Amino acid sequence: MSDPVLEVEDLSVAFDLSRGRSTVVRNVDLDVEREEVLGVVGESGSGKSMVALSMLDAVMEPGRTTGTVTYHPEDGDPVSVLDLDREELRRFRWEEVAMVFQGAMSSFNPVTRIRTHFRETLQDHDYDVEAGMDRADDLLEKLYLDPDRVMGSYPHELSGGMKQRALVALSLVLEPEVLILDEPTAALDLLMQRSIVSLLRDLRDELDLTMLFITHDLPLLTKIADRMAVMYAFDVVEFAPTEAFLEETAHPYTRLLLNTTPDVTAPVSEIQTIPGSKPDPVERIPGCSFHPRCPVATERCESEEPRLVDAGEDHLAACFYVDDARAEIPVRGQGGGETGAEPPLGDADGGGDADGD
Amino acid sequence: MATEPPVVSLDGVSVEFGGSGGLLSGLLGREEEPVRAVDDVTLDIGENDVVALIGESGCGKSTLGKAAIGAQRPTGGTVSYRGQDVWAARDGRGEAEIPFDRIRRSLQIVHQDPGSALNPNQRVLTSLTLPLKKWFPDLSRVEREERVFTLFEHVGMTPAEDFANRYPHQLSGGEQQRVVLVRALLMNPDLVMADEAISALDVSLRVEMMDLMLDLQDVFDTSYLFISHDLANARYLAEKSDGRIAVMYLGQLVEVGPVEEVIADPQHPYTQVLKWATPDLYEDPAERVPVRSVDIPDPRNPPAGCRFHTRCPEAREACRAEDPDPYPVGEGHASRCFRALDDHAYWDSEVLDD
Repeated sequence: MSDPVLEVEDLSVAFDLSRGRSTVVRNVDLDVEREEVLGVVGESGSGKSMVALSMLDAVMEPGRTTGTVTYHPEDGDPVSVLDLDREELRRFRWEEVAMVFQGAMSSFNPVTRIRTHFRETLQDHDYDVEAGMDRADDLLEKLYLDPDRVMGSYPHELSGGMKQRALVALSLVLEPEVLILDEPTAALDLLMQRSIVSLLRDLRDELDLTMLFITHDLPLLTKIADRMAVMYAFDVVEFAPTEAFLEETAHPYTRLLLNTTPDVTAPVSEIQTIPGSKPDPVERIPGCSFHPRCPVATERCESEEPRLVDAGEDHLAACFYVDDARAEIPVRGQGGGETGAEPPLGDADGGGDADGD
Repeated sequence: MATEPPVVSLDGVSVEFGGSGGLLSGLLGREEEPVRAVDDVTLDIGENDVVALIGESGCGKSTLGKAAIGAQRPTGGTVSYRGQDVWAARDGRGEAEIPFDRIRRSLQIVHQDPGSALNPNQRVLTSLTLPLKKWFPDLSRVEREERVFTLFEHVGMTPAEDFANRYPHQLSGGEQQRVVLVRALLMNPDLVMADEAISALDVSLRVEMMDLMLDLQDVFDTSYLFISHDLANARYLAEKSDGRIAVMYLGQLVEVGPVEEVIADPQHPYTQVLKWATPDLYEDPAERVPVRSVDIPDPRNPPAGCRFHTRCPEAREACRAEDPDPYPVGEGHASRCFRALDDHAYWDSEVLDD
């Protein structure tokens, strides 16, 4: 039943710094299923962008990527991405897996018209340019852009939202199987963010795309993702179909994250902070990396590292105490739970000062 | 009881940038259209008041914020601090009852990027005690430092002496932002304008920072003008402080009102669209984009009539012809839309559907 288009196994990314080895991705296992939208959520520094980059073997020097990334084309043999040579990688990156980054501003050459970007991309990859340009116009129109106007413009003549949509069109012009989007809406306004997500979902349905959508914006992500992956401290701590993610959240961190996310209808008294602060990539926290901030942690969590365990259908969580977390950390918006329960505050000595030095 | 004038009162304030007179355009013989970043805005901010100002980038919200704290001279209208015209005091026009530097000290700012708001080559203690030295020359060095340490303890940066003696790069983003907030509050301000003050912080730190701002509001009796592009955050801060939401679009305030009313029952179509754009975890809004155009018009050339008519899902012919005024739609609640008037010609005019 499982048909992964990208398979990531035991992936780590490390940088050697003067103060020690900084591990920014730690032994991550992750599958992206064909034609799904997998949402990866995490705070800044959780490792989510590095996971995306390593899928294209694009981690910058002096970062070191280890583990395996396997790409399974629709037909043909599996490809080991981290073993590709320069030329193979160049083709793989736009033709099979394309990526849209946060700053569309810097993804375009400022002295080249948008049309030239499309033509050169098609030429460099030996695609039929005329057919490709027709496809490009079509994509731009689907993204609510006027193709004639956009193609004839220089990047600075377009607004941030227009540029970002033009970049989405450019990334799709070679008809890739997979689109990786890393904070594609972060620099944009609310209305544009929501609009782009809505347009992306339409495109996905029309083009049978697979998407890996990475963001810190949890509410936005739940509106596009079929399945969620939560990163904390350089590893994935929970995988769940989006509905189960919202309704049967398993990991204590995810439960606290949902409670700290303000939205416009939740009672303000139910919006709470997560105690403590996030871990440092150089200092390895023994046991579960979330234990210093976790309200249900026990001694076991201080020494033993939890593996991903079953937490429901297609639902995994890296926690020994999923049942306790569900019983003791009420999540607003979820039914059940004792309403009279004390709000989870964790230990005051959780680690607020620990990263201070 | 005589009514005290508000802490800050904006009356018909406009701010224009550019236009004739630019050196480059003069040399090139070009006529630049001026941009009216703020257009005829009237707003009072009282004691212990919280106004959350929201809008898309380029709508003029930062410029309006700067005008409110006397950091941007308006090209039209007046800005008053406790009844004193701020720019009359600045220019020495008439008899200033409150001198300009006292006004500037009473109106403080917290920026989005705390990293660039602090001198990287100075210990934060120096950055914090210098303004105290300037404005409170009677304090001794020990007294100045004590004020800083006390506030550091209050915002949870302990041991205070250790934190105060660090350089900005030795602090996390959340800690830097707390330092900047402390610096503003050390001046005992009546109003703090916080411009996207939490946008750069991690999601899990935003609520904490807003709670801290509200906690300090009680301690210092200050008011906030909280500028944000994020409706969910604006609503959190305003609702916890019983404040107001002000919505800005292309230089104008299109809706101002008590936070519960504006969120639960937004009156202006633009506010309704912003609410759609703010996804709720547990509610599914309509799928379709509810605007006729997703792109904002060029602010140098705003649409005639109602500025929102080119995107508004409710627009009719009347909106193209005439710019609506702010109409009352509740207690302290106004909306700049003809739909607030039962008997307006709007209701009989043609629907726009281009």
